[in-house]
Amino acid sequence: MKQDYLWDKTGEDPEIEKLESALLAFRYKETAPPALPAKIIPFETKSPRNFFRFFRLSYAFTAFAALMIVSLGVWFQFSGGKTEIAGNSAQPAPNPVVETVTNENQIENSDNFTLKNDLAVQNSGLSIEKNQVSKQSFERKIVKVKNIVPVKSRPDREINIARKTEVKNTPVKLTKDEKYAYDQLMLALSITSSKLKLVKDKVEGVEEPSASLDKGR
Amino acid sequence: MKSFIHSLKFILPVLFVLGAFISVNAQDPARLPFERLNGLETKARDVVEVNIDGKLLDLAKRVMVKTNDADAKKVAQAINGLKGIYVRVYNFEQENEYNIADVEAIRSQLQSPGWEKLANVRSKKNNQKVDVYTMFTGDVMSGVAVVVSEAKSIAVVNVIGPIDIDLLVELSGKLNIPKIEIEKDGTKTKIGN
Repeated sequence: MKQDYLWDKTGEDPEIEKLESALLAFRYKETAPPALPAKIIPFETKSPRNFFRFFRLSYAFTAFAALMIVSLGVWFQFSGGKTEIAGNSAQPAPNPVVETVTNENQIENSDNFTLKNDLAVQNSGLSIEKNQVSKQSFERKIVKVKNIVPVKSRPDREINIARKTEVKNTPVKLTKDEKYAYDQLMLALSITSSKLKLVKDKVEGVEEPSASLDKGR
Repeated sequence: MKSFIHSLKFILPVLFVLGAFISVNAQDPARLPFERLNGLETKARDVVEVNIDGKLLDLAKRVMVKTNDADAKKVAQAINGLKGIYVRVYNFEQENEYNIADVEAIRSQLQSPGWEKLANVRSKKNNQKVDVYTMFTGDVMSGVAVVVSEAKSIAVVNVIGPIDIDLLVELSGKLNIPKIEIEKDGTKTKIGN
């Protein structure tokens, strides 16, 4: 057995040749390298975390929508009629008095002031238009008075301050809606009071019916 | 699972607020359903239907406060906590023109828990039946119901919220519309006494 054939294929070696011919089918054949697929499909990994992430987003959206609905509802519920001017508020009108003006020096020393009454106005030597205005109008005037610029900054010292007001016994100014609401309430109350009065009269024996009264509380 | 619990921490307060909002807007237990009386409108000669609550009531309360009338001031005090008044009055041409079962249905609602009978009057004259019920939440009055049925008329009054009954009775007949001016397109129209 020659070693040359085994190493560099020179000479002859029938035993090796026989083995070669037997293993011919497994001989290496050089071919083109395999091509990459045209479309690469990534490997999908579904984890439980993604499942909860979906729910987390949906919950967040639902919660946001609910919050918006609640906010809008609350806004509509409580905003109605409260954005009106102070004169229309349900609170009774506060006394339109902040500071008494007794003389001109006080006015000069004060940037923001209002008048308490006519006497104070007369003492101050200021010009006043004596007109009757409603309570509501008076409140508006007070707001304007508070915004008056300092006396020193005005050259001619012409001060136009709040007007004399008479709050008492002035007719109430109502809009149509207010009038309607008021009429409805008065109608309801008058019917209610008349029916309650009827019961009271009956119970007190004004018309002598067979009446009984159960004192609840 | 951790994120789910984290989501619940956010959702539960929102649901709580939502539930509170719904409960606030739920119908008041002192409110009587008047649906059964609706059928009487076609039979009655005169119908008075008043529903005043919410913004309309707030508006009326503000007018009350504005009014300089002494009685109106008293009324404003009496209805300070009022939430609503619902009135139905039906006057008929003939006697027994309505089905008494319709009124009894209202009376049977007043037998439910919460309502307490304050007074009842039964008179053979005009077949008159008057019932006054009150509802209290704790020590605060939460509703009043007055049901009056006569031969030719029915009146049902449902008041929601606290109200001074004695003061209302005292002011009976004095609840007129005071002198007022309506602002209409810059012009003023005088209405009332």
